[in-house]
Amino acid sequence: MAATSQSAEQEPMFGLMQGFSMGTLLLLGGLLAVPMVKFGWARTISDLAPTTIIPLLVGLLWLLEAIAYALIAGLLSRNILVALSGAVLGFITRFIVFLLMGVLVSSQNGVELSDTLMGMDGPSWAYRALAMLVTGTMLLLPFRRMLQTGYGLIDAPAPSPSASRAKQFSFASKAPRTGHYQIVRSAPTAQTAPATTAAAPTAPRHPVIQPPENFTPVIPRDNVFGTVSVPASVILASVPEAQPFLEADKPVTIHLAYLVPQLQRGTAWLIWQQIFSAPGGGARPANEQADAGVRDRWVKISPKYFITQVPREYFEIQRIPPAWMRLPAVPQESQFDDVE
Amino acid sequence: MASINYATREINCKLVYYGPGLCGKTTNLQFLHQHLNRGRRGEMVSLATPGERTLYFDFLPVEMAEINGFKVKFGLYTVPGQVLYNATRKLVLRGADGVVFVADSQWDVMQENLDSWQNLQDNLAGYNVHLEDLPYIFQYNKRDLTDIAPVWYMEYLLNARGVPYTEAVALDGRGVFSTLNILCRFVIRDLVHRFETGAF
Repeated sequence: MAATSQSAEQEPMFGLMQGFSMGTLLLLGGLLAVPMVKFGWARTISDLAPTTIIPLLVGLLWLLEAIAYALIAGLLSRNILVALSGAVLGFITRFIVFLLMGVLVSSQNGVELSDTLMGMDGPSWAYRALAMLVTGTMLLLPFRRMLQTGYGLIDAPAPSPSASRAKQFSFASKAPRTGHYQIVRSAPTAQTAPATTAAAPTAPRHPVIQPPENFTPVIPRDNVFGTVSVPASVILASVPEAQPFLEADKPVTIHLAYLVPQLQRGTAWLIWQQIFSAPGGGARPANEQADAGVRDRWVKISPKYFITQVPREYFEIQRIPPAWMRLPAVPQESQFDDVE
Repeated sequence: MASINYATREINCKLVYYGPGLCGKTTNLQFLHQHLNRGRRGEMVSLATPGERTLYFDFLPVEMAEINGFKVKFGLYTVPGQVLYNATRKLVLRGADGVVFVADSQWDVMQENLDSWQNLQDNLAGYNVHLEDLPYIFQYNKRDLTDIAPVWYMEYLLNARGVPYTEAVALDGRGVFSTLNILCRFVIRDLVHRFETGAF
Protein backbone atom coordinates (compact mmCIF):
# COMPACT_ATOMS: atom_id res chain seq x y z
CA MET A 1 0.00 0.00 0.00
CA ALA A 2 2.81 2.37 0.91
CA ALA A 3 4.60 1.63 -2.33
CA THR A 4 1.48 2.29 -4.31
CA SER A 5 0.82 5.57 -2.54
CA GLN A 6 4.35 6.73 -3.14
CA SER A 7 4.19 5.88 -6.79
CA ALA A 8 0.82 7.65 -7.05
CA GLU A 9 2.37 10.79 -5.70
CA GLN A 10 5.24 10.50 -8.16
CA GLU A 11 3.14 9.78 -11.18
CA PRO A 12 0.50 12.43 -11.93
CA MET A 13 -1.50 10.05 -14.11
CA PHE A 14 -1.49 7.40 -11.46
CA GLY A 15 -2.58 9.96 -8.91
CA LEU A 16 -5.37 11.04 -11.18
CA MET A 17 -6.56 7.50 -11.49
CA GLN A 18 -6.35 7.02 -7.76
CA GLY A 19 -8.47 10.10 -7.31
CA PHE A 20 -10.91 8.85 -9.86
CA SER A 21 -11.09 5.51 -8.15
CA MET A 22 -11.69 7.16 -4.79
CA GLY A 23 -14.48 9.20 -6.31
CA THR A 24 -16.02 6.12 -7.80
CA LEU A 25 -15.72 4.32 -4.51
CA LEU A 26 -17.42 7.14 -2.64
CA LEU A 27 -20.20 7.25 -5.19
CA LEU A 28 -20.77 3.52 -4.93
CA GLY A 29 -20.58 3.79 -1.15
CA GLY A 30 -23.26 6.43 -1.17
CA LEU A 31 -25.47 4.36 -3.42
CA LEU A 32 -24.98 1.36 -1.20
CA ALA A 33 -25.55 3.27 2.00
CA VAL A 34 -28.99 4.58 1.02
CA PRO A 35 -30.74 1.20 0.82
CA MET A 36 -28.87 0.00 3.89
CA VAL A 37 -30.26 2.85 5.93
CA LYS A 38 -33.66 2.64 4.27
CA PHE A 39 -34.11 -1.06 5.01
CA GLY A 40 -32.83 -0.74 8.54
CA TRP A 41 -29.50 -2.50 8.09
CA ALA A 42 -27.86 0.62 9.48
CA ARG A 43 -29.52 3.30 11.50
CA THR A 44 -27.52 6.19 10.10
CA ILE A 45 -24.86 6.74 7.54
CA SER A 46 -22.40 7.19 10.38
CA ASP A 47 -22.95 3.57 11.39
CA LEU A 48 -21.36 2.50 8.15
CA ALA A 49 -17.78 2.74 9.16
CA PRO A 50 -15.22 2.59 6.35
CA THR A 51 -13.91 -0.69 7.72
CA THR A 52 -17.29 -2.26 7.14
CA ILE A 53 -18.21 -0.69 3.88
CA ILE A 54 -14.94 -1.16 2.03
CA PRO A 55 -15.20 -4.97 1.81
CA LEU A 56 -18.84 -4.60 0.77
CA LEU A 57 -17.86 -2.19 -1.96
CA VAL A 58 -15.10 -4.45 -3.15
CA GLY A 59 -17.55 -7.33 -3.32
CA LEU A 60 -20.03 -5.14 -5.14
CA LEU A 61 -17.41 -4.17 -7.67
CA TRP A 62 -16.56 -7.78 -8.29
CA LEU A 63 -20.21 -8.57 -8.78
CA LEU A 64 -20.74 -5.64 -11.13
CA GLU A 65 -17.71 -6.62 -13.09
CA ALA A 66 -18.87 -10.21 -13.43
CA ILE A 67 -22.32 -9.04 -14.49
CA ALA A 68 -20.78 -6.74 -17.06
CA TYR A 69 -18.73 -9.53 -18.60
CA ALA A 70 -21.71 -11.87 -18.56
CA LEU A 71 -23.92 -9.19 -20.13
CA ILE A 72 -21.47 -8.59 -22.96
CA ALA A 73 -21.14 -12.28 -23.68
CA GLY A 74 -24.86 -12.83 -23.23
CA LEU A 75 -25.86 -10.02 -25.55
CA LEU A 76 -23.52 -11.30 -28.20
CA SER A 77 -24.43 -14.95 -27.96
CA ARG A 78 -27.99 -14.87 -26.56
CA ASN A 79 -27.07 -17.97 -24.64
CA ILE A 80 -26.93 -18.26 -20.86
CA LEU A 81 -24.10 -20.79 -20.80
CA VAL A 82 -21.96 -18.67 -23.07
CA ALA A 83 -22.79 -15.65 -20.92
CA LEU A 84 -21.48 -17.43 -17.86
CA SER A 85 -18.38 -18.61 -19.68
CA GLY A 86 -17.94 -15.05 -20.96
CA ALA A 87 -17.82 -13.86 -17.37
CA VAL A 88 -15.11 -16.39 -16.63
CA LEU A 89 -13.23 -15.41 -19.75
CA GLY A 90 -13.52 -11.77 -18.74
CA PHE A 91 -12.03 -12.45 -15.34
CA ILE A 92 -9.20 -14.47 -16.84
CA THR A 93 -8.44 -11.57 -19.15
CA ARG A 94 -8.73 -9.19 -16.25
CA PHE A 95 -6.18 -11.02 -14.15
CA ILE A 96 -3.76 -11.30 -17.05
CA VAL A 97 -3.98 -7.54 -17.48
CA PHE A 98 -3.75 -7.09 -13.72
CA LEU A 99 -0.48 -9.00 -13.72
CA LEU A 100 0.87 -7.04 -16.68
CA MET A 101 -0.09 -3.79 -14.97
CA GLY A 102 1.65 -4.89 -11.83
CA VAL A 103 4.78 -5.61 -13.82
CA LEU A 104 4.54 -2.22 -15.49
CA VAL A 105 3.97 -0.29 -12.29
CA SER A 106 6.68 -2.13 -10.39
CA SER A 107 9.22 -1.60 -13.16
CA GLN A 108 8.37 2.08 -13.38
CA ASN A 109 8.68 2.58 -9.65
CA GLY A 110 11.51 0.17 -9.03
CA VAL A 111 9.40 -1.81 -6.59
CA GLU A 112 9.21 -5.56 -6.25
CA LEU A 113 6.37 -7.08 -8.24
CA SER A 114 4.99 -8.89 -5.22
CA ASP A 115 4.93 -5.64 -3.24
CA THR A 116 3.18 -3.88 -6.08
CA LEU A 117 0.55 -6.56 -6.43
CA MET A 118 -0.05 -6.69 -2.71
CA GLY A 119 -0.21 -2.92 -2.59
CA MET A 120 -2.91 -2.70 -5.23
CA ASP A 121 -5.78 -3.02 -2.81
CA GLY A 122 -8.07 -0.79 -0.84
CA PRO A 123 -9.19 2.32 -2.70
CA SER A 124 -7.26 1.32 -5.79
CA TRP A 125 -9.75 -1.49 -6.29
CA ALA A 126 -12.08 0.82 -8.13
CA TYR A 127 -9.36 1.97 -10.45
CA ARG A 128 -8.17 -1.55 -11.02
CA ALA A 129 -11.63 -2.92 -11.59
CA LEU A 130 -12.60 -0.20 -14.03
CA ALA A 131 -9.35 -0.55 -15.93
CA MET A 132 -9.80 -4.27 -16.10
CA LEU A 133 -13.40 -3.96 -17.15
CA VAL A 134 -12.50 -1.68 -20.05
CA THR A 135 -9.55 -3.78 -21.07
CA GLY A 136 -11.45 -6.99 -20.70
CA THR A 137 -14.30 -5.66 -22.79
CA MET A 138 -11.95 -4.58 -25.51
CA LEU A 139 -10.34 -7.97 -25.52
CA LEU A 140 -13.67 -9.69 -25.57
CA LEU A 141 -14.94 -7.90 -28.64
CA PRO A 142 -12.66 -9.71 -31.09
CA PHE A 143 -14.21 -12.91 -29.82
CA ARG A 144 -17.60 -11.75 -30.99
CA ARG A 145 -17.99 -14.48 -33.59
CA MET A 146 -16.78 -17.12 -31.15
CA LEU A 147 -19.26 -15.92 -28.59
CA GLN A 148 -22.08 -15.84 -31.10
CA THR A 149 -21.53 -19.48 -31.89
CA GLY A 150 -20.75 -20.41 -28.29
CA TYR A 151 -17.16 -21.21 -29.22
CA GLY A 152 -18.54 -23.42 -32.02
CA LEU A 153 -20.82 -25.37 -29.70
CA ILE A 154 -24.16 -23.70 -30.38
CA ASP A 155 -26.01 -22.54 -33.45
CA ALA A 156 -25.68 -18.98 -34.60
CA PRO A 157 -28.66 -16.76 -33.79
CA ALA A 158 -31.29 -16.67 -36.48
CA PRO A 159 -30.84 -13.79 -38.91
CA SER A 160 -33.63 -11.28 -39.23
CA PRO A 161 -36.10 -11.89 -42.03
CA SER A 162 -34.72 -8.96 -43.98
CA ALA A 163 -31.19 -10.33 -43.70
CA SER A 164 -32.39 -13.74 -44.81
CA ARG A 165 -34.01 -12.27 -47.85
CA ALA A 166 -30.89 -10.37 -48.69
CA LYS A 167 -28.81 -13.50 -48.63
CA GLN A 168 -31.10 -15.45 -50.87
CA PHE A 169 -29.56 -16.28 -54.17
CA SER A 170 -30.99 -14.53 -57.14
CA PHE A 171 -30.17 -14.49 -60.78
CA ALA A 172 -31.33 -10.93 -61.02
CA SER A 173 -28.50 -8.47 -60.96
CA LYS A 174 -28.77 -5.73 -58.36
CA ALA A 175 -26.60 -3.34 -60.27
CA PRO A 176 -26.46 -2.27 -63.90
CA ARG A 177 -24.70 -4.75 -66.12
CA THR A 178 -20.97 -4.19 -65.95
CA GLY A 179 -19.97 -6.43 -68.78
CA HIS A 180 -17.39 -8.41 -66.81
CA TYR A 181 -19.09 -11.63 -67.76
CA GLN A 182 -18.84 -12.64 -71.34
CA ILE A 183 -21.69 -14.73 -72.55
CA VAL A 184 -20.53 -17.59 -74.68
CA ARG A 185 -22.82 -18.56 -77.44
CA SER A 186 -22.58 -21.85 -79.20
CA ALA A 187 -24.66 -21.50 -82.33
CA PRO A 188 -24.02 -18.21 -84.06
CA THR A 189 -27.01 -18.35 -86.34
CA ALA A 190 -29.48 -19.14 -83.60
CA GLN A 191 -27.96 -17.02 -80.88
CA THR A 192 -27.33 -13.73 -82.54
CA ALA A 193 -29.29 -11.12 -80.69
CA PRO A 194 -31.67 -8.96 -82.63
CA ALA A 195 -29.92 -5.90 -84.01
CA THR A 196 -32.30 -3.58 -82.28
CA THR A 197 -31.31 -4.97 -78.90
CA ALA A 198 -27.76 -3.67 -79.07
CA ALA A 199 -28.95 -0.20 -79.89
CA ALA A 200 -31.65 -0.15 -77.28
CA PRO A 201 -31.88 3.47 -76.16
CA THR A 202 -33.41 2.80 -72.75
CA ALA A 203 -32.62 0.49 -69.88
CA PRO A 204 -34.57 -2.75 -69.74
CA ARG A 205 -37.73 -2.66 -67.76
CA HIS A 206 -36.52 -5.58 -65.65
CA PRO A 207 -33.00 -6.42 -64.50
CA VAL A 208 -31.14 -8.50 -67.00
CA ILE A 209 -30.74 -11.99 -65.65
CA GLN A 210 -27.14 -13.04 -65.45
CA PRO A 211 -25.51 -16.31 -64.50
CA PRO A 212 -24.16 -16.48 -60.96
CA GLU A 213 -20.56 -15.52 -60.43
CA ASN A 214 -19.51 -19.09 -59.79
CA PHE A 215 -21.25 -20.23 -62.92
CA THR A 216 -19.26 -22.80 -64.82
CA PRO A 217 -20.61 -23.75 -68.18
CA VAL A 218 -20.89 -27.47 -68.60
CA ILE A 219 -18.71 -28.82 -71.37
CA PRO A 220 -21.09 -29.17 -74.26
CA ARG A 221 -21.72 -32.57 -75.67
CA ASP A 222 -23.44 -33.60 -78.81
CA ASN A 223 -27.07 -32.67 -78.99
CA VAL A 224 -27.04 -30.84 -75.71
CA PHE A 225 -27.41 -27.50 -77.29
CA GLY A 226 -30.63 -27.27 -79.10
CA THR A 227 -34.14 -26.17 -78.64
CA VAL A 228 -36.56 -27.25 -75.99
CA SER A 229 -40.20 -26.59 -75.64
CA VAL A 230 -41.39 -25.13 -72.36
CA PRO A 231 -44.72 -23.71 -71.26
CA ALA A 232 -45.04 -20.01 -71.96
CA SER A 233 -45.89 -19.46 -68.31
CA VAL A 234 -42.36 -20.58 -67.40
CA ILE A 235 -40.88 -17.96 -69.69
CA LEU A 236 -43.25 -15.33 -68.38
CA ALA A 237 -42.22 -16.06 -64.80
CA SER A 238 -38.73 -14.87 -65.63
CA VAL A 239 -39.49 -12.46 -68.44
CA PRO A 240 -42.76 -10.67 -67.77
CA GLU A 241 -42.27 -8.32 -70.69
CA ALA A 242 -42.76 -11.24 -73.02
CA GLN A 243 -46.42 -11.11 -72.04
CA PRO A 244 -47.57 -9.25 -75.16
CA PHE A 245 -45.90 -11.76 -77.43
CA LEU A 246 -46.92 -15.04 -75.87
CA GLU A 247 -50.03 -16.97 -75.21
CA ALA A 248 -49.74 -18.36 -71.70
CA ASP A 249 -51.29 -21.73 -72.40
CA LYS A 250 -49.07 -22.64 -75.33
CA PRO A 251 -45.56 -24.06 -75.25
CA VAL A 252 -42.68 -22.00 -76.55
CA THR A 253 -39.60 -23.33 -78.22
CA ILE A 254 -36.47 -21.69 -76.90
CA HIS A 255 -32.79 -22.27 -77.22
CA LEU A 256 -31.24 -24.24 -74.40
CA ALA A 257 -27.76 -22.87 -73.96
CA TYR A 258 -26.50 -24.41 -70.77
CA LEU A 259 -27.50 -26.84 -68.12
CA VAL A 260 -26.25 -26.11 -64.68
CA PRO A 261 -26.47 -29.25 -62.60
CA GLN A 262 -25.34 -27.46 -59.48
CA LEU A 263 -28.47 -25.38 -59.51
CA GLN A 264 -32.02 -26.32 -59.01
CA ARG A 265 -32.97 -24.64 -62.20
CA GLY A 266 -31.34 -24.98 -65.54
CA THR A 267 -30.27 -21.83 -67.23
CA ALA A 268 -31.27 -21.06 -70.76
CA TRP A 269 -30.40 -18.24 -73.05
CA LEU A 270 -33.59 -16.74 -74.28
CA ILE A 271 -33.49 -15.40 -77.80
CA TRP A 272 -36.27 -13.02 -78.56
CA GLN A 273 -36.30 -14.02 -82.18
CA GLN A 274 -37.35 -17.43 -80.95
CA ILE A 275 -40.19 -15.91 -79.03
CA PHE A 276 -41.37 -14.08 -82.08
CA SER A 277 -41.14 -17.12 -84.25
CA ALA A 278 -42.38 -19.60 -81.65
CA PRO A 279 -45.55 -21.53 -82.34
CA GLY A 280 -47.12 -19.82 -79.37
CA GLY A 281 -45.34 -16.56 -79.93
CA GLY A 282 -47.05 -13.41 -81.04
CA ALA A 283 -46.14 -10.92 -83.67
CA ARG A 284 -42.85 -9.07 -83.50
CA PRO A 285 -43.32 -5.44 -82.40
CA ALA A 286 -43.74 -3.29 -85.41
CA ASN A 287 -41.77 -0.26 -84.34
CA GLU A 288 -38.47 0.29 -82.64
CA GLN A 289 -40.11 1.83 -79.63
CA ALA A 290 -41.87 -1.40 -78.81
CA ASP A 291 -38.67 -3.33 -79.40
CA ALA A 292 -36.62 -1.12 -77.08
CA GLY A 293 -37.33 -3.04 -73.90
CA VAL A 294 -36.70 -6.38 -75.46
CA ARG A 295 -33.37 -7.98 -74.74
CA ASP A 296 -31.98 -11.41 -75.02
CA ARG A 297 -31.40 -12.77 -71.58
CA TRP A 298 -30.85 -15.68 -69.28
CA VAL A 299 -33.95 -17.31 -67.99
CA LYS A 300 -34.32 -19.85 -65.25
CA ILE A 301 -36.08 -23.00 -66.20
CA SER A 302 -36.60 -25.85 -63.81
CA PRO A 303 -35.09 -29.03 -65.21
CA LYS A 304 -38.48 -30.66 -64.96
CA TYR A 305 -39.47 -28.77 -68.08
CA PHE A 306 -36.65 -29.95 -70.23
CA ILE A 307 -34.95 -33.10 -68.93
CA THR A 308 -37.18 -35.30 -70.98
CA GLN A 309 -36.24 -33.34 -74.08
CA VAL A 310 -32.52 -33.61 -73.57
CA PRO A 311 -30.70 -36.81 -74.49
CA ARG A 312 -30.26 -39.04 -71.45
CA GLU A 313 -26.57 -39.48 -72.25
CA TYR A 314 -26.00 -35.97 -71.05
CA PHE A 315 -26.92 -37.00 -67.53
CA GLU A 316 -24.66 -39.99 -67.50
CA ILE A 317 -21.50 -39.22 -65.64
CA GLN A 318 -18.51 -41.38 -64.92
CA ARG A 319 -18.76 -42.77 -61.43
CA ILE A 320 -15.90 -44.29 -59.49
CA PRO A 321 -17.20 -46.18 -56.45
CA PRO A 322 -15.40 -45.48 -53.19
CA ALA A 323 -13.11 -48.08 -51.67
CA TRP A 324 -15.57 -49.14 -48.96
CA MET A 325 -17.98 -50.33 -51.64
CA ARG A 326 -15.46 -52.82 -52.94
CA LEU A 327 -14.83 -54.53 -49.60
CA PRO A 328 -15.71 -58.22 -49.38
CA ALA A 329 -19.02 -59.18 -47.86
CA VAL A 330 -19.19 -60.25 -44.23
CA PRO A 331 -21.45 -63.15 -43.34
CA GLN A 332 -24.27 -61.93 -41.18
CA GLU A 333 -26.81 -63.81 -39.21
CA SER A 334 -29.71 -61.52 -39.85
CA GLN A 335 -30.95 -58.21 -41.03
CA PHE A 336 -33.64 -55.81 -39.92
CA ASP A 337 -37.15 -56.84 -40.87
CA ASP A 338 -40.56 -55.32 -40.56
CA VAL A 339 -42.20 -57.55 -37.98
CA GLU A 340 -44.94 -55.49 -36.37
CA MET B 1 -16.27 -44.06 -34.66
CA ALA B 2 -17.55 -47.46 -33.57
CA SER B 3 -16.68 -48.66 -30.11
CA ILE B 4 -15.98 -52.24 -29.11
CA ASN B 5 -16.69 -53.48 -25.63
CA TYR B 6 -14.73 -56.70 -25.18
CA ALA B 7 -16.21 -57.35 -21.77
CA THR B 8 -19.80 -57.45 -23.00
CA ARG B 9 -18.73 -58.44 -26.52
CA GLU B 10 -20.63 -55.58 -28.10
CA ILE B 11 -19.90 -53.32 -31.02
CA ASN B 12 -21.67 -49.97 -31.04
CA CYS B 13 -21.97 -48.07 -34.30
CA LYS B 14 -23.45 -44.70 -35.08
CA LEU B 15 -25.57 -44.13 -38.17
CA VAL B 16 -26.78 -40.67 -39.07
CA TYR B 17 -29.77 -39.78 -41.22
CA TYR B 18 -28.87 -36.53 -42.94
CA GLY B 19 -30.81 -34.38 -45.36
CA PRO B 20 -32.71 -31.14 -45.88
CA GLY B 21 -35.57 -30.05 -43.66
CA LEU B 22 -38.81 -32.00 -43.92
CA CYS B 23 -37.30 -34.67 -46.14
CA GLY B 24 -38.40 -37.52 -43.87
CA LYS B 25 -35.45 -38.36 -41.63
CA THR B 26 -37.49 -38.52 -38.45
CA THR B 27 -40.25 -40.38 -40.29
CA ASN B 28 -37.70 -43.06 -41.15
CA LEU B 29 -36.81 -43.51 -37.50
CA GLN B 30 -40.41 -43.41 -36.39
CA PHE B 31 -41.31 -46.17 -38.80
CA LEU B 32 -38.38 -48.27 -37.66
CA HIS B 33 -39.36 -47.70 -34.07
CA GLN B 34 -42.94 -48.74 -34.71
CA HIS B 35 -42.18 -51.80 -36.81
CA LEU B 36 -39.03 -53.29 -35.37
CA ASN B 37 -39.23 -56.19 -33.01
CA ARG B 38 -39.29 -54.80 -29.49
CA GLY B 39 -36.45 -57.04 -28.50
CA ARG B 40 -34.19 -55.46 -31.07
CA ARG B 41 -34.82 -51.81 -30.48
CA GLY B 42 -34.82 -49.42 -27.56
CA GLU B 43 -36.99 -46.42 -26.98
CA MET B 44 -36.82 -43.56 -29.42
CA VAL B 45 -35.68 -40.23 -28.07
CA SER B 46 -36.94 -37.26 -30.03
CA LEU B 47 -36.35 -33.62 -29.27
CA ALA B 48 -38.76 -31.78 -31.50
CA THR B 49 -40.62 -28.50 -31.60
CA PRO B 50 -44.42 -28.41 -31.28
CA GLY B 51 -44.46 -28.23 -35.07
CA GLU B 52 -42.80 -31.64 -35.31
CA ARG B 53 -39.53 -30.15 -36.50
CA THR B 54 -36.45 -31.80 -35.07
CA LEU B 55 -34.85 -29.41 -32.65
CA TYR B 56 -31.73 -31.26 -31.69
CA PHE B 57 -31.77 -34.85 -32.88
CA ASP B 58 -33.68 -38.11 -32.78
CA PHE B 59 -32.11 -41.24 -31.45
CA LEU B 60 -33.14 -44.84 -31.82
CA PRO B 61 -30.93 -47.70 -30.61
CA VAL B 62 -31.32 -50.94 -32.54
CA GLU B 63 -29.60 -54.25 -32.33
CA MET B 64 -28.73 -56.19 -35.40
CA ALA B 65 -26.82 -59.41 -35.44
CA GLU B 66 -23.93 -61.26 -34.00
CA ILE B 67 -20.76 -61.22 -36.01
CA ASN B 68 -17.89 -63.38 -34.86
CA GLY B 69 -19.43 -63.59 -31.43
CA PHE B 70 -19.90 -59.83 -31.11
CA LYS B 71 -23.32 -58.30 -30.82
CA VAL B 72 -23.64 -55.33 -33.18
CA LYS B 73 -25.71 -52.40 -31.98
CA PHE B 74 -26.54 -49.36 -34.05
CA GLY B 75 -27.44 -45.96 -32.73
CA LEU B 76 -29.61 -44.26 -35.33
CA TYR B 77 -29.54 -40.49 -35.25
CA THR B 78 -31.21 -37.79 -37.29
CA VAL B 79 -30.01 -34.24 -37.63
CA PRO B 80 -32.17 -31.11 -37.66
CA GLY B 81 -32.58 -30.24 -41.31
CA GLN B 82 -33.21 -26.55 -40.88
CA VAL B 83 -30.38 -24.45 -42.22
CA LEU B 84 -29.88 -22.56 -38.95
CA TYR B 85 -28.94 -25.58 -36.91
CA ASN B 86 -25.63 -26.36 -38.52
CA ALA B 87 -23.66 -26.53 -35.28
CA THR B 88 -26.08 -29.18 -34.05
CA ARG B 89 -25.84 -31.09 -37.31
CA LYS B 90 -22.10 -31.07 -37.12
CA LEU B 91 -22.15 -32.23 -33.53
CA VAL B 92 -24.50 -35.12 -34.30
CA LEU B 93 -22.36 -36.10 -37.27
CA ARG B 94 -19.31 -36.47 -35.11
CA GLY B 95 -18.04 -40.03 -34.97
CA ALA B 96 -20.60 -41.36 -37.46
CA ASP B 97 -19.86 -44.78 -38.91
CA GLY B 98 -22.35 -44.43 -41.74
CA VAL B 99 -24.68 -41.88 -43.23
CA VAL B 100 -28.03 -42.13 -44.97
CA PHE B 101 -28.61 -39.06 -47.07
CA VAL B 102 -32.37 -38.68 -47.29
CA ALA B 103 -33.19 -36.60 -50.35
CA ASP B 104 -36.60 -35.15 -50.98
CA SER B 105 -37.70 -36.13 -54.47
CA GLN B 106 -39.87 -33.09 -55.08
CA TRP B 107 -38.71 -30.75 -57.81
CA ASP B 108 -39.25 -27.69 -55.67
CA VAL B 109 -36.73 -28.74 -53.03
CA MET B 110 -33.98 -29.91 -55.35
CA GLN B 111 -31.82 -26.93 -54.42
CA GLU B 112 -32.26 -27.72 -50.72
CA ASN B 113 -31.09 -31.26 -51.44
CA LEU B 114 -27.95 -29.92 -53.07
CA ASP B 115 -27.32 -27.45 -50.28
CA SER B 116 -27.72 -30.10 -47.62
CA TRP B 117 -25.49 -32.51 -49.54
CA GLN B 118 -22.80 -29.87 -49.74
CA ASN B 119 -23.33 -29.08 -46.07
CA LEU B 120 -22.79 -32.73 -45.18
CA GLN B 121 -19.47 -32.77 -47.01
CA ASP B 122 -18.40 -29.51 -45.39
CA ASN B 123 -19.26 -30.74 -41.92
CA LEU B 124 -17.46 -34.02 -42.48
CA ALA B 125 -14.45 -32.12 -43.74
CA GLY B 126 -14.50 -30.30 -40.41
CA TYR B 127 -13.75 -33.66 -38.81
CA ASN B 128 -11.24 -34.53 -41.50
CA VAL B 129 -13.54 -37.23 -42.82
CA HIS B 130 -14.05 -37.79 -46.53
CA LEU B 131 -16.92 -39.58 -48.18
CA GLU B 132 -14.39 -41.83 -49.85
CA ASP B 133 -13.82 -43.36 -46.42
CA LEU B 134 -17.27 -43.23 -44.88
CA PRO B 135 -20.03 -45.62 -45.93
CA TYR B 136 -23.12 -43.77 -47.05
CA ILE B 137 -26.13 -44.32 -49.21
CA PHE B 138 -28.89 -42.24 -50.70
CA GLN B 139 -32.54 -42.60 -49.99
CA TYR B 140 -34.77 -40.82 -52.49
CA ASN B 141 -37.83 -40.25 -50.38
CA LYS B 142 -41.42 -39.21 -51.12
CA ARG B 143 -41.59 -41.22 -54.29
CA ASP B 144 -45.36 -41.35 -53.97
CA LEU B 145 -45.81 -37.66 -54.71
CA THR B 146 -46.61 -36.36 -58.16
CA ASP B 147 -44.25 -33.49 -58.85
CA ILE B 148 -41.03 -35.41 -58.32
CA ALA B 149 -37.77 -35.68 -60.20
CA PRO B 150 -36.91 -38.97 -61.85
CA VAL B 151 -34.39 -41.06 -59.98
CA TRP B 152 -31.84 -40.87 -62.76
CA TYR B 153 -31.86 -37.09 -62.53
CA MET B 154 -31.35 -37.19 -58.76
CA GLU B 155 -28.54 -39.64 -59.29
CA TYR B 156 -27.03 -37.16 -61.73
CA LEU B 157 -27.35 -34.35 -59.22
CA LEU B 158 -26.21 -36.08 -56.06
CA ASN B 159 -24.64 -39.45 -56.56
CA ALA B 160 -21.33 -38.72 -58.21
CA ARG B 161 -19.71 -41.88 -56.82
CA GLY B 162 -22.42 -44.31 -57.72
CA VAL B 163 -23.08 -45.48 -54.17
CA PRO B 164 -26.23 -47.53 -53.50
CA TYR B 165 -29.55 -45.78 -53.33
CA THR B 166 -33.08 -46.69 -52.42
CA GLU B 167 -36.42 -45.29 -53.40
CA ALA B 168 -38.64 -44.74 -50.41
CA VAL B 169 -41.94 -43.56 -49.07
CA ALA B 170 -40.96 -43.28 -45.43
CA LEU B 171 -44.49 -42.50 -44.36
CA ASP B 172 -45.63 -45.94 -45.55
CA GLY B 173 -42.35 -47.61 -44.73
CA ARG B 174 -41.46 -48.35 -48.31
CA GLY B 175 -37.70 -48.59 -48.62
CA VAL B 176 -37.08 -47.78 -44.96
CA PHE B 177 -35.79 -51.20 -43.95
CA SER B 178 -33.88 -51.79 -47.14
CA THR B 179 -32.11 -48.45 -46.64
CA LEU B 180 -31.04 -49.43 -43.14
CA ASN B 181 -30.03 -52.94 -44.15
CA ILE B 182 -27.91 -51.78 -47.07
CA LEU B 183 -26.09 -49.21 -44.98
CA CYS B 184 -25.56 -51.62 -42.08
CA ARG B 185 -24.04 -54.12 -44.48
CA PHE B 186 -21.50 -51.60 -45.72
CA VAL B 187 -20.78 -50.28 -42.25
CA ILE B 188 -20.06 -53.78 -40.96
CA ARG B 189 -17.83 -54.53 -43.94
CA ASP B 190 -15.94 -51.34 -43.31
CA LEU B 191 -15.72 -52.09 -39.60
CA VAL B 192 -14.35 -55.58 -40.18
CA HIS B 193 -11.91 -54.26 -42.75
CA ARG B 194 -10.61 -51.60 -40.38
CA PHE B 195 -10.34 -54.13 -37.61
CA GLU B 196 -8.42 -56.56 -39.78
CA THR B 197 -6.07 -53.94 -41.13
CA GLY B 198 -5.43 -52.51 -37.69
CA ALA B 199 -6.89 -49.16 -38.64
CA PHE B 200 -9.47 -49.39 -35.90
